[in-house]
Amino acid sequence: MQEILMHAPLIVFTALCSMGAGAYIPLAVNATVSPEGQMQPNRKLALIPVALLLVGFVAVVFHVTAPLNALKVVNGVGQSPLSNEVIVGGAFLALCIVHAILVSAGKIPSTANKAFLWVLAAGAMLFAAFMGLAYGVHTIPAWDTPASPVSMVGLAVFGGIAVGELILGFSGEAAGGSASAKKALVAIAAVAAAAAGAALFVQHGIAIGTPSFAHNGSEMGSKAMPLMIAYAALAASSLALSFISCSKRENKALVVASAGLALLAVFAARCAFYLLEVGLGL
Amino acid sequence: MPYAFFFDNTRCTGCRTCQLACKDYKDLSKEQTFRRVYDFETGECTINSEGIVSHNCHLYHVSVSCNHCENPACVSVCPTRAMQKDPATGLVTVDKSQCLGCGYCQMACPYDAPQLYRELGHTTKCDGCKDRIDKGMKPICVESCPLRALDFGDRESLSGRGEAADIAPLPSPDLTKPSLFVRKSPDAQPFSTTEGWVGNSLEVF
Repeated sequence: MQEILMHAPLIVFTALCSMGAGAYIPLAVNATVSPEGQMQPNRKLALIPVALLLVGFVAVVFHVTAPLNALKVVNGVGQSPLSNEVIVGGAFLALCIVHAILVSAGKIPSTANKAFLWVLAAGAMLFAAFMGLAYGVHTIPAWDTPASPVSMVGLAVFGGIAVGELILGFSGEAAGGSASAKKALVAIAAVAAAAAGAALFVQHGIAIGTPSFAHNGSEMGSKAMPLMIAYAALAASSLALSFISCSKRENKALVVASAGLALLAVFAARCAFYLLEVGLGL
Repeated sequence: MPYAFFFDNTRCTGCRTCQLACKDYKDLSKEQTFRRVYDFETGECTINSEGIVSHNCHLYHVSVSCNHCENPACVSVCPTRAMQKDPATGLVTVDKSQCLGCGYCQMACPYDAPQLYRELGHTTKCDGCKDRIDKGMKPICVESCPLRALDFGDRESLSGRGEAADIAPLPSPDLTKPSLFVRKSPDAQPFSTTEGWVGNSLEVF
């Protein structure tokens, strides 16, 4: 519990930012497959992804002791994985804010909005990958593996699709897209959730096998396992509700429940990840 | 001239004078410690069917601070470049005015040398007593050691006096190439051992 509390701001940051960023994927898909003129989701609801991102970034302020030095992270670009993450994340957030302003003002044509959303969807994947790469610390074997970026991208896609479906579900039937497109998105979310879960299990295996006099890898692994099981159960439940909601006309309760379960699942996965910090040293 | 520490494991009695002298000289709070002494224990005590007790227990001490590594993990991960390695002396120091206080250096260092103290708002660590070095003196931990188990000086000359930090419970020296050379006692175990444990874990972890 102490380990989780110690990393709480980072758990909030990685969970909310991955979900907020990933939400642009279903919005971009919806804008592409929906009939022209019906692709715009509710303007206020379209601000949810950027709101999640902003809360995530604000949470980081509580992690560092000298937030006024934040701009100095540019000094470490190319050298520090953390600098790379912050710069990519900052650029992505700026793009999201510009998009939110344009959408709120109603000054973005539908074709431009579609293109912008695809840029944001691609940026979301990039940001999620860099979030994972930030854990590439070679003295912590369970983190210094491709499983870290795979896990973050997986959670971004899975959680983001749940958030996107929530936005579209409340934007009216016209904005909801076709049932087949929704089902395709749920299938993508399922693959992403499975990849994130598999990555977590790989990291768990590495952590419990890491030799250390300072950390008890087996004990940390035992603490992480219930959270990993919770992730699997919550993600499966969320996906099941999403699948059911695809063929329902009135699906607001389902998409809310699905997004809520997805949020809990992503938080469980991130808590488990931080429990697997088993270093090679003292 | 890159500097290095030398630690004579055959001499150290685990008295912690080095640790306390450092705390006193640097005026550290009770929570802060730049140098730690690890008590490493191995072996077991058994009794056979005839009631004869035997044991093969060993205990030795390892005094460690920042090792001012050749390839310091703290420097490579620092997002603001507050953590720097002086190319001339090899000393790794933190510029507190640049430090973000993210704790990334502490997480990455396999010797747990950088310490983020939230009360101070930045990372702190051993700077090799840079002020004393500039005056031609040795670090306070070295000068305070009553057994003369510690030394500090030119890396090249110290490298002939011991092995490069290959002693349990320290991690593999290949991780960061520490500027620490150790003369090992006969009971000392290599870093790769899976036997033994840190006896004073509550003190040092």
